[in-house]
Amino acid sequence: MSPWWDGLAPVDATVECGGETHRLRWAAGELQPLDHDDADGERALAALGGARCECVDMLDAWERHARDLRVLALGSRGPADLLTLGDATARGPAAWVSPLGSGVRLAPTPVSTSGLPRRTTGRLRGSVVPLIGRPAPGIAPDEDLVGLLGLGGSLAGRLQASVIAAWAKRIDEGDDASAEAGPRLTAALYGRLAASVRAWLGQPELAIELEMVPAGSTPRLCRTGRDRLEAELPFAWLEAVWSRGLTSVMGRFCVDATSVDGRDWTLSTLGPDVDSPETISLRLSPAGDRRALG
Amino acid sequence: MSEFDSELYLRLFGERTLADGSDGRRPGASPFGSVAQALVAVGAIDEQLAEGVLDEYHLADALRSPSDHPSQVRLRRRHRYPSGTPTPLGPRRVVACNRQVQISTGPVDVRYVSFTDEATRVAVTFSMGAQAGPRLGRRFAPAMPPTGRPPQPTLADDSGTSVGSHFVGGGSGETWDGHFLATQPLALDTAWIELDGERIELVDVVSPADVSVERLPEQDPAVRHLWRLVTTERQHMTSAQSTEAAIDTLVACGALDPGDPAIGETQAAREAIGHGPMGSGPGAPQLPDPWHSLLARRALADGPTGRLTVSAVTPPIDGVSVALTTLESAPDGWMITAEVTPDVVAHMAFAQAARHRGLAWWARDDRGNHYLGESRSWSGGGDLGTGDIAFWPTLDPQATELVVMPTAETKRAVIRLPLVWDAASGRAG
Repeated sequence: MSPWWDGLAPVDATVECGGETHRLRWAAGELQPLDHDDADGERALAALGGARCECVDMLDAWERHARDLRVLALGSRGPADLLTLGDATARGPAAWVSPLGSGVRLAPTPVSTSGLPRRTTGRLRGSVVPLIGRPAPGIAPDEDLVGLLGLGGSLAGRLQASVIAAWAKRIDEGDDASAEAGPRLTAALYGRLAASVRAWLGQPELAIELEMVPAGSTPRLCRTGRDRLEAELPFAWLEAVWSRGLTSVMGRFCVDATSVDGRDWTLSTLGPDVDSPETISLRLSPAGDRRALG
Repeated sequence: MSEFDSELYLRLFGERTLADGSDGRRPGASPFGSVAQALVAVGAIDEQLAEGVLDEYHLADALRSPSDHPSQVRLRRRHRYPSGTPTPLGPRRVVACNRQVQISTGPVDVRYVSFTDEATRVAVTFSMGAQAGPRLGRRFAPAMPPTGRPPQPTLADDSGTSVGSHFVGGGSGETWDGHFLATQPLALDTAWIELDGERIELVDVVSPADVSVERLPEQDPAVRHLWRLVTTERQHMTSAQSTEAAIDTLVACGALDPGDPAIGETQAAREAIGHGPMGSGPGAPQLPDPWHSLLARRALADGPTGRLTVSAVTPPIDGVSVALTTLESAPDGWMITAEVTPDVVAHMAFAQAARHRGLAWWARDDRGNHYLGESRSWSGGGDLGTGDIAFWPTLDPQATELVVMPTAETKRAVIRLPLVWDAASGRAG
């Protein structure tokens, strides 16, 4: 089975850090500061009273919330569910949302896959750093989370994908915490499923009943009336389908997506009659191949 | 049949609220809060858990409201129920004045002065318009935000203390009601006060008030919650949809039978006071006793005109302490001025709380009439709130005694007042 981040394109964001514009990049499940050689060293300096570094603060906030289910409660349920953080933070640092100091640029950030990082260090995953687990001084717990969600649609989506993957793994492993978090997980699945199905069928008033079934169960969607639909889906649908933006492909609704190598994908789909199952095969090909074909 | 999961029910309601988009934008008015309160009221969910769920979805909703999300969230947080045990209100000296004085900005009607160890308040009515003079008597209609800058007179006492003040209250473009709150408390035993040098001699004449606390009769928690919603929904800006959502929730969690007569009775009561579905028709159930007398006199405008000054402080009722300072009556209604700690009035109106801590303001007179109040011109938040509670219907002109009953979840205060009007206020009943 391929890693959870397979099929998710890298995402860049820019941050005002120390008077300069710095870049953060999410790729392969990790957020990296592209303009800092030694993030751990900068954390240590800050702990000793040195100036805080906005890029490192952002990495720490990411780590604090990468398994935080509040990300799913607050974050977008789909393309039509827009958060308006950019407008609020544009009021300036005195506004309620002043997430990670004043340095975070909250305008939507372009997805860049072509630029090479100037320097590549300070990887977050697996590092043990002194400040992780605590927000920056003066930052209320919610505020750094809200700041992360304001980092442009794509990066916020990657944060949601991280949380979803972490909890899908817990469910798969039978972690007690996943049973305790059942209502939160079900609600997260419901909100995203409802937004996806309603958009797909063009029925914003469609009533949806959801049963979250164990991982590995066969997904099922069934109309029970003109304006009603019942669904049986595992939480893992969010990881396999929703996080990758595969909910609707070629006018069909995707109930599962699998890949062995992260390049070739098999999508299990239903037609607009919420029946007529069909399989769609997708293949990610490097641009070079395409040029060669041309 | 699967077991009812209260947290899931609440969260799914939150998801639907978010998806609807137009719902829940006004704090206190959202059915979402009512669902949480219903679940907490019958013990189906822990209050803290429900509060956490409300917090998350309130913030999620705010993040989707570009124009007002910082203020929404601030408002909710500011009006949270205070943690810890609140300090009950202490005794106070209340002195009726009923005098007009000239301060630097113009004439002001001074109704009374209230002294405690912590604060000095001078209750006033004044006009902002240049031509309009002040008028005795107060508006019983809901207050509108004032349009000008209110005066801030200097207050002084006989011990030589002279302090500034600021106005707390509300009004329309012309008439403002409220009080000047001294920046520091004046002497409790002062023989006079001055407003911008205008002296008012203080003569203590206070109506005696008998105060006690009663435990409410045992009642099914779901039914009790429904009636509390009916008696408080106007003052808490609760929408009809919120009450409907509460009923659905109580039925869904098994706390209320779908055929329970309380559902029909509360709907009939709500309709009678201007809420609920229209047109219950002749088949509407008979309302229980207090509502019958409440509704029987609602079209009348024969109330007496007068004021009386009170100094009544209740022991805590379910953790809430209430002080009454005045009662004023006019032909079209009557009101009391109250202080409440903690400020459950603002808490319920703005915090979208997980627990219904609001007070139902009931009253009855010695002629068997009942009255129901709702907050007006309220200010405060957190530990202390103060303002007016306007009652309906109008006071029975033949009544000689009134019992005001701030009613909490399990207890009520009983404040017994003889209706002997202050001499200066007159009585034209």
